[in-house]
Amino acid sequence: MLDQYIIDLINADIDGELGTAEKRELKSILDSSSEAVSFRDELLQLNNAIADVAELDPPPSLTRTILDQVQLPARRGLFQLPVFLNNFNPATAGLAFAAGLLMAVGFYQIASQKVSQHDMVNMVGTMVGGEQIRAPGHGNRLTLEMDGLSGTVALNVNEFGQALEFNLESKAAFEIELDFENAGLMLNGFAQDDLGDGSLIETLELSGGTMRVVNQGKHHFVVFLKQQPGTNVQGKDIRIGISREGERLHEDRLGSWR
Amino acid sequence: MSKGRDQALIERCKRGDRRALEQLLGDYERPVYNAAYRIVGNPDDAADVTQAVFLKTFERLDQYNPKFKFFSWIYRIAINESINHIKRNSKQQPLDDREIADLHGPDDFVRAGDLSRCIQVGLMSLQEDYRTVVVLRHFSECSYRQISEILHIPEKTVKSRLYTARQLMKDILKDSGIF
Repeated sequence: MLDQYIIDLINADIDGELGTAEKRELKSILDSSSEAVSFRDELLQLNNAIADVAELDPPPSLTRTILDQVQLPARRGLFQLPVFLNNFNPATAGLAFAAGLLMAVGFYQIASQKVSQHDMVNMVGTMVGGEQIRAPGHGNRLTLEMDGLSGTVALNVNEFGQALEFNLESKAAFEIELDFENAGLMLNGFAQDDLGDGSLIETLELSGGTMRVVNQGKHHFVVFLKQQPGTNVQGKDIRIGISREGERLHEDRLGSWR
Repeated sequence: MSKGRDQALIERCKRGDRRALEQLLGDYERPVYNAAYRIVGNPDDAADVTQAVFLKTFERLDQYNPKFKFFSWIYRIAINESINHIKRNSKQQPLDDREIADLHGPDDFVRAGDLSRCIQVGLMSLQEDYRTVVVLRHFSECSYRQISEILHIPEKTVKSRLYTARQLMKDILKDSGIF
């Protein structure tokens, strides 16, 4: 009759739970006990028999059935209109900008309506003077090259505020998180270019001073920011984090003060 | 199925992101279905259990404690749901002696199907406590520690149940001429 300690050792070995010293101990036991070897062989036989059992595929309809039944909380975090508009002063940006901004907000309220390229151009041009927003030397720029995602993020500055311009192309869904609150900035608008391929950003969430965008496909969009009243942006950076399936792939900073 | 990925997906689900729900479902549907099948013993019931597991999981997301692994949490729900399913449907109780006796000898086992069927017959003849540890260890490939977390029992109990369950399985398969 085998000692319980040896039985436990053999079971733990089969289960891959033994450390090096215990493995050595077990080996010496097996070298001197045919009973232990016989017990181990029987367990291995059972283990191998179970390991040979194939996994089953769930019924193909199961996923859809579950998805149809699961209720998630109502999506929240989409543009919070009251907060957004409280911080917005059309007088400083001009009537045309106000129209563009409201159009952008309206787009995200109804989610499926596209902002045309024409709207986008008007919005940017009216707000910051077209060429000036892209003038080299007035901001800084990141070039992203990673597996499945490429493009640029450019921070441009003018007298009205700052604009983060994204030109991205991705094969899978990437999350882009912006923390501008800690850079002394607040949201002042958003516009997305319709590139004509039907791919629009599906998720845009704003919470406090952070913004989260889920991007897949080819996208060109601009996040307009302005200085929070009574704050200093000198030495403060906008933080940008890029994640895929919950894993942070890249973090970077852009600062208008640089 | 890393802890960080799971946590991020759960947070997104809490915000109503259905793509995150699809990803979690993609990660866990198959393992939950297989664990349920090995416990309840038939594919239709396993599908019902899997459906109930995900409905409960997402209904209770606010109760999920991120200190623990989502993996352990959903498996715990799956095990409980499987056992409750068996209790609710007494016809699904472990195979009785008559059914096991019907499967005497290797020829009968071959007739009954393949090795998978033989193992399933052996599993269904175990008490639920024993069946559960065998399923988690051998089919879901959980460590002693993970099984302990899922079932909320000490690792020592996991080892002793596993030992007893294996002895019983060996005896059943020996009696049936498989070993």
